[in-house]
Amino acid sequence: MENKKSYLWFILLLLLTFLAGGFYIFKSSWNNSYQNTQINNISLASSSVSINSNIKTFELIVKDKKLFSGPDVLKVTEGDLVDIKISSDVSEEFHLHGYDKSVDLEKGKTVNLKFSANLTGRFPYELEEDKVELGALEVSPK
Amino acid sequence: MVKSLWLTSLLLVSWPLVIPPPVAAHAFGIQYTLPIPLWMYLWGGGVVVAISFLLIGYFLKFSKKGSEKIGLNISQNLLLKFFRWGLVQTFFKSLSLVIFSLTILAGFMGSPEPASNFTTVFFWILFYLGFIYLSALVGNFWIVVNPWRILTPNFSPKLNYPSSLGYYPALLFYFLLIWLELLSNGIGVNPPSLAGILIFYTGINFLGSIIFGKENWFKYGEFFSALFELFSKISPIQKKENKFYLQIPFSKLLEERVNHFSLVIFILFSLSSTAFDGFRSTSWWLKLVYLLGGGQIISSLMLGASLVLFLSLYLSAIYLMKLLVKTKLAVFDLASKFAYSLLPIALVYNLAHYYSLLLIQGQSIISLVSDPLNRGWNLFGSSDYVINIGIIGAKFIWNSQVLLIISGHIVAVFLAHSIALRLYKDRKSSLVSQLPMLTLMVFYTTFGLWLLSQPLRVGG
Repeated sequence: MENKKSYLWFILLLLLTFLAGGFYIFKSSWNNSYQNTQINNISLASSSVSINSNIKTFELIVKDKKLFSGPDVLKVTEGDLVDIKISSDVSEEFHLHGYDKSVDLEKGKTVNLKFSANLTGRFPYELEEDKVELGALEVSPK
Repeated sequence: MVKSLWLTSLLLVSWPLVIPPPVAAHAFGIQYTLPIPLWMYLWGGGVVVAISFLLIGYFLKFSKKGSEKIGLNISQNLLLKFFRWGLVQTFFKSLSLVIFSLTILAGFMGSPEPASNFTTVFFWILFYLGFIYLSALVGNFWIVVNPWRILTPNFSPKLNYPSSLGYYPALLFYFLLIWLELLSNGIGVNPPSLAGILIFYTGINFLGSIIFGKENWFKYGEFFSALFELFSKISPIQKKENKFYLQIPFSKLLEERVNHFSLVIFILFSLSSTAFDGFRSTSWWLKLVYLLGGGQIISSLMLGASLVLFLSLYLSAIYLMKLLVKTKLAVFDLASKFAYSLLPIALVYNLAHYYSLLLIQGQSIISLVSDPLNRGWNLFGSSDYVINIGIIGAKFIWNSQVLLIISGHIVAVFLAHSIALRLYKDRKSSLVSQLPMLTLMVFYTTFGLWLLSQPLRVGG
């Protein structure tokens, strides 16, 4: 190696970066868990108040094998209850990747897909039979 | 005789195309990663610039030329000796051949769905991604387990390998592989087509070895050998003159220099192809397609254009370097000298974009290995394993992506500066010479972060 000392400095610098990064990661996740503890404490104390996770409702209308109306991207936060109302002009299958949830669509009927957004990430959904991607669900971490 | 040879070759070429891919390949290689938040991208970019200044300051005061030290000789290490033991090597070679045969067989006999097929999952995720990371970690293990190397006889050369050809054959296959991965409209992820291509590639390696001799072909022509050998130079475990050494990761990149310009292009393609893949998922790609028109041909040209762009930027930086500090070396020579300093960036680009794919969709292999041919077997008891998507959350992925890109940048700058110190007479010249390279690296890494922060378009 060129210079043992300079490499030691290099490793030190790298280490510092990781430490700074690690500090930040742990700090933010600690903040989150602290906040959650606070909320749980409050809900235990006041049993008459029912704590609801946020319910996020979206309406999608499918026509001609594509999204006719409704958002391209459904943005929710981790822990939300998601309720997707889908209506379609043909019978098809609505498939949400990642969560791997499907619901059959029928002509003229509105169906509901309800679930808890406990996985973070970006999950595309599509018309399964025609393989048309309609949009994506984005679950942001708390 | 010649006519039938041509006919056979023609059939061999068109074989993968004869098997039609499904109408639209079902989602294979979907990434469930969210774009990194804007503030994280800005923080990351800021850190990259700030650290660059810190490093300049450090180089001004502390860096000096030192003596060459190879590292710790670990040739007598027991674990290493175990892996070098003939019997163990034979075991791994046999295992490699079994997996290779299985990969091909499963292409024809397994599920037609890429996400549920052993061939596609193993080849694109476990092998192509995984082996890059493995090579960077433990060194050039590929040279032992390469099934094509095992299957090809020791042909002696009929023709001398022309030195001007360099790594261009491997580069061509690299381009074709990326094209297959990204732009083939599903052919690359269609299991029987992929299996056919692997058979065809075996034939190519035979032919290449017959013509140029096995050693030269497997150095300059067999794509995976070139790729994994390149990334294995990052590993702390290195081999020199039949002895093994434990050295600081990336330090091997300072011991050698690129000997052929084609390898410079190869390294830059590793960078540009990952960037291209990331760029294609953004809305900017849609805007570009709207301007230029869509379709396979335009997209393929864009893949080439992205390489030209990355290469031009690199050569411009080198040219500026030459302007700033006098040197007898020509631009292409200088470009070859500094090329290895880009490899850390190529590695972190790849890791940041794809490691979550390996970790999440790569889990499919656990169930596939128990039932690779879709017969309802359960060889290892894992055929009902379900992928755990929640294994790592979005936040962890963001943070790791940013940390990776920043770290890769630091290492690259450090390597480039070390090369400069060796090249130029004094500390000041080497520092001044590095300013264009530093700017380039800041650009590459900030662009990498930007790509990760872009909202992903629907239908991507």
